[in-house]
Amino acid sequence: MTLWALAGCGSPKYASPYQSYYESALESVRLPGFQEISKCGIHQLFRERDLDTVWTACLQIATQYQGVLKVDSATATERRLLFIHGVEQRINRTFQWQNTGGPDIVNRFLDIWIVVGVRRGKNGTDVYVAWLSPTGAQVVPFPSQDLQGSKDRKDDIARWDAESRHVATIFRDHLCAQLDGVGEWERKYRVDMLPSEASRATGTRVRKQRKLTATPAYQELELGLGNANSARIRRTYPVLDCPELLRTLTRITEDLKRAAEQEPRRTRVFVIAQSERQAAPPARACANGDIFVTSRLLDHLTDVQELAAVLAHELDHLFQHDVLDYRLRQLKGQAVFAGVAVIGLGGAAGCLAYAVGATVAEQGVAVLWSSRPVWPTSLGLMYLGITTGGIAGGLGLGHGAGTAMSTDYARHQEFDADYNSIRYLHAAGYEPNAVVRVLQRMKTYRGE
Amino acid sequence: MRIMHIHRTMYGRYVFTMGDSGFCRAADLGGPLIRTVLISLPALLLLLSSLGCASYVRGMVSDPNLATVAIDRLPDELPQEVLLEHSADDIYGVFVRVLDSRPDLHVLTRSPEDHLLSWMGPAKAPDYLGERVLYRLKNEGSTRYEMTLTTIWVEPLGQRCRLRARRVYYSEATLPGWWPTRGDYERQLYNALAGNSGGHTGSP
Repeated sequence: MTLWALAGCGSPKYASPYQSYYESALESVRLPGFQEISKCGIHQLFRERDLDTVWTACLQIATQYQGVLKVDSATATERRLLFIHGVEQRINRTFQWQNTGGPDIVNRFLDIWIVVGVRRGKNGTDVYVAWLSPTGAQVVPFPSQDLQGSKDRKDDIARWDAESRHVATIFRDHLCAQLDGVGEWERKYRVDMLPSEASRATGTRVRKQRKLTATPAYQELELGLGNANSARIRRTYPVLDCPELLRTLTRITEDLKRAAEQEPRRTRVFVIAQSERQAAPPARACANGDIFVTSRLLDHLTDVQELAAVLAHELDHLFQHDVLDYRLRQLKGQAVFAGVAVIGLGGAAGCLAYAVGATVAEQGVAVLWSSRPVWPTSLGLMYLGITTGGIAGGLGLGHGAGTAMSTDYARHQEFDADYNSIRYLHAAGYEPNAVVRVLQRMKTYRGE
Repeated sequence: MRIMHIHRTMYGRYVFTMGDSGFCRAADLGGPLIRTVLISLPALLLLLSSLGCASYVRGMVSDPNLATVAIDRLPDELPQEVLLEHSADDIYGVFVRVLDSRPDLHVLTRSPEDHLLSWMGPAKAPDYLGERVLYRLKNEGSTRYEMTLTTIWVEPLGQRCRLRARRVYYSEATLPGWWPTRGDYERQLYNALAGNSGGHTGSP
């Protein structure tokens, strides 16, 4: 990002490929026929699922995207849906979570129109997911070289062309998580497997940033960070409808909070759909008390003990205010970068002023218009100052912007969370060894 | 004395040491190439850095959903959905009546079977965008394409219902593409409905 900024590559102007439709207020939008969708779309069969259940799940997921444009559910055997999905385009990485380090800036928002066809079949319900071409004349993407228009316009369409199948597949995966995953998880993590005895957790490690949270300003900052991050996650990953599983998760969380005897924190647990094509942390605690568990994590874990270990770990991040600590470290880093940038650019300006002043003093004003430059040494110092200042400034911008929404924890914070979670689990009557099992599973999870 | 020493190297070039005035003549460096590089590179770098940083900041500002300046300004949590103590037909009927009374809204979807509605309407720039972006919206951007897309889905849950609302903005000129709201509209809507019907917000 820094090199990109220093190299002067401006933020690419993005025009939506569907711009002509927006200009006409979506008057001419056409919902493709089922035959068109089924001919070109990604197919998924949900066995022994009736049409209404699958259709409700489609609405459940699709209404969490950007917006619904068309719906046709008039017939008893076929239903169709057209909605907008927004893809956040990042400079360095696309479709990745922010915790992989380095700058990660979203500079444009690419909209893709997804069309879904649902039909009652012999063995269940068939779902077809396709994407609607910006020309409106066909469902499948068309060759970009056939497009009319400027090069930028063609580039936009080509980018859209590459992302559309990816987005359609992600929607299919989200739908599978809602229809197939939820039932399986509710059987796997049953309520009757939870322990009933609890004691008090002792010997936990407490870090110094907890003292900061007594200050109203820090409390406000922490709450704002948590709200923003929670909203961002819920905008990116659909929240699944799984009331029984949520009851289990809430009960585990309350057990652990009671046993931990830490400061009272309001917590809410969400299960979000995560495609295998989406990189995301398996679980995430936001500073406002929202805890997110991904569908992929629930697929990987084997029992309720491991689920409790994950929740205990995330709860300790909340108790220790690790998000706030991370934000404060980030602000310190930005301050250092800003200081170096000011020194470098200020030095460069000083060298320039000195060179001009000395030249004028010795040879007169006319030398400034001379064809023979006379101050290479000062120019060299200016070069050094500008380079230092520019790099530092760019790093500061990238550092601040790229990590503002992410919550990367330091290694010692993760170690402490593991350490304390074992004590929480033991006190609440769960298996402390589950922490070790989860850590081993995480290697597999991340290695995939 | 401006130049203290000038030496000729084995490559036929001159090297210099700085004189008492703090600078020396570029001609003493012994070649037009070095002179050109020394003069043009800092100026070019300064220009490119300025352009790059300016466009970079502009790109950040033009994406208000993710601009760092706006991240900490989210005042309240984004509502997810609301459970209402009314039937889905009742709530859906309320929205239909409101839409029928608003000719400035362009209905995109009206599905009584699914209790789903979506419409397009004029956009009012949200306050969190900041003065700079609002100025650009007002003075530079074309207002023709600034609009909102709102989707309402009322899911029947027996005698109750669950309402989900989503609103996104679209602008062609200065804030291109769709991007989600910060939940201001949804929050007001949920609060109004929950206040009138006795429902509660939040996850189930």
